[in-house]
Amino acid sequence: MNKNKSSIIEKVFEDLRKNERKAFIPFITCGFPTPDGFFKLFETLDKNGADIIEIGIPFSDPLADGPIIQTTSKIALENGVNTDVVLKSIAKIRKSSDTPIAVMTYFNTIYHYGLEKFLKNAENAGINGLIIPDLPLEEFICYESYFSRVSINNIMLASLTSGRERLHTIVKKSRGFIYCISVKGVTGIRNSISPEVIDFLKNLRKITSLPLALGFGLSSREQIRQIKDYCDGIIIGSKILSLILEADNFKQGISKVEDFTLGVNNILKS
Amino acid sequence: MKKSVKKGYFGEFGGSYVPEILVSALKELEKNYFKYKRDKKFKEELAYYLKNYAGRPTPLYYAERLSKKFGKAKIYLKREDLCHLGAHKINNTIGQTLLARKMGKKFIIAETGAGQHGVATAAAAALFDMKCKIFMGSKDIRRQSSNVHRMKLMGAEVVEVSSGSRTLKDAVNETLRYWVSRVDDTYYVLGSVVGPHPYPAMVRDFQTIIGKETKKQIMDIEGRLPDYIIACVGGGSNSIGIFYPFLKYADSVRLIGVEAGGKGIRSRKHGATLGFGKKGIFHGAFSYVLQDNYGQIEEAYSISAGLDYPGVGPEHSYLKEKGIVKYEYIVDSEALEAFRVLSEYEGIIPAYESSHALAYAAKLAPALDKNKVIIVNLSGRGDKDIENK
Ligand SMILES: Cc1ncc(COP(=O)(O)O)c(C=O)c1O
Repeated sequence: MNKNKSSIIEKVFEDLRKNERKAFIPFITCGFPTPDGFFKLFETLDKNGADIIEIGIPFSDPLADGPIIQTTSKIALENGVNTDVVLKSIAKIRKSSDTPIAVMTYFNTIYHYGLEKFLKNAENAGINGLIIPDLPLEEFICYESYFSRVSINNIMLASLTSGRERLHTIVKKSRGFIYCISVKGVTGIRNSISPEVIDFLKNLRKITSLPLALGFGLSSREQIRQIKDYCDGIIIGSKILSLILEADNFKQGISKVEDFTLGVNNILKS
Repeated sequence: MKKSVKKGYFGEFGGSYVPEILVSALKELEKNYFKYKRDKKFKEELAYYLKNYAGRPTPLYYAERLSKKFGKAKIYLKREDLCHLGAHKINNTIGQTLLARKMGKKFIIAETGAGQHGVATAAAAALFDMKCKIFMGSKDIRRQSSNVHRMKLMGAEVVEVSSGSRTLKDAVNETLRYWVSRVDDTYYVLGSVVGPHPYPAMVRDFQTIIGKETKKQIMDIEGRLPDYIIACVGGGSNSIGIFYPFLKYADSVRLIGVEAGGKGIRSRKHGATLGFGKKGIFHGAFSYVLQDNYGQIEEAYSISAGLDYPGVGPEHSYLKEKGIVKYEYIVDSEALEAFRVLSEYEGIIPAYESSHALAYAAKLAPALDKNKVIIVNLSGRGDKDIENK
């Protein structure tokens, strides 16, 4: 892979590591709650200490997502968001923010756009990483060569069920960080963390020097306190999106996101 | 984006585009399936239940009055409607549930559209004493309510899916999401030749009994292979099941898959995925898909719930590209007419799905000579469709 091109995403973790700090990586859906509201939400997270921001291209059939991200995806699609709109939105964000951006989407949206064209346009728009939850190792390998021509990191997912052998290959193929899935399940809000997650992270730590970011189901400060020492970053999506979904109005939602972000970041940066 | 042919692929189609959490479960399934597929005892058990429980072999019936009504050619019906519970779906659910039991799984889950696969899964779960949950779109729950009652009677829990188009597509999504959270002890009985590897190959193998019987029966009756075999295509299981043993004769036996034309192709309300879809990734496989210009999956439409699906099995995509099978479509009104004609002329009430295959035979027959032989796969019976009128 593009070993010689340095990774902006990996650099974020390197800098944080020097001070024993952990990355905060929020996830939001492009075009949610409205096209303008999305920019405001991005800015709020950016200003309140997000280290990397994950942006979802909405997909009609998000298999790995629970009800909250299903809802935000549906709203975004109804707002007219599509792959071109997402690329344009990110290019616009890049005029005022350097915060690394990883895009999350299902493979059909990219395949349909044309992988080569997508990667080129994504690179030009200022996207730094790509997370494709339905492109596991075996399928990724067929498309690997396209990634080696751009500076975009393909961030691969590792799960509790992956098994030793696969994990070894996954960490070899991934760039940026390893997206560690903390639950056997889809994205959403959970109240606890299973003890096997700690062993899972410890094992991964032994086989890779890549940063480990934990996601899926993380929502409370308690969970984050419990797990942060075993990984390099925390990904939170559904919880943040639910604060907007459940608020009486957007302004109130934004202020809740601000409070939540500050609270989480305090834990991660202490 | 060319790919080399590899395991789980039919040419460039197929594969396993699934969340990481499911990969190990699918590998476990693949390993077990290929092991038991060759296991003598498993094969004996499967054959026992297909015969004594499902009622196989099903007859190949010469529909004389129907043949005369449609033209001169001889029309035979492969009577899958006479299978236990009234459709071919039981061939697959017995096979997969037996496999689930061998694998030590405790729970069975499945999606259903028309409810036929749900009913057949519920029955197999009852037969083998396993707990079972069936995911069904709320729109389908309404239009196929008698099947909902049947599933519940057999002890299955019916989970209503109210996301998206509230039909089969969303039922598959929800079943996959549920499976992700229970991979350790739960077996997913997929109902057609769709989804990630190994489902398309496994479900095909379980349905191939239809074609094997048909071949033997037509040789016994006519002493030769048929000229045409026609079957409806939703996900594609009854069609691949009857086509498969005839693929090698495709030069002389014309194989025709019939998709749902719904309210007409121009209305964009149809389920003709192979006819009018584009290549893409949907429900874990690379195949033809109904989708918009940005790869968002479109909703399908058909009067028949079993054909109301924007995807199709990857092997069909391959057979289409190779020109081995021809794919046509039939609109709602033509299917309804065939439904009525078969009921009136033969006293056989076909499922709306199967009525699509019949309607194509009605179009084809008038132009054929009297020595031609057409076989229509009558994949299911139509009681479910009358009761929900
Ligand atoms: C009677 C009948 N025929 C056909 C189908 C379509 O499925 P497939 O294309 O997998 O045979 C269904 C699906 O529910 C069905 O119930």
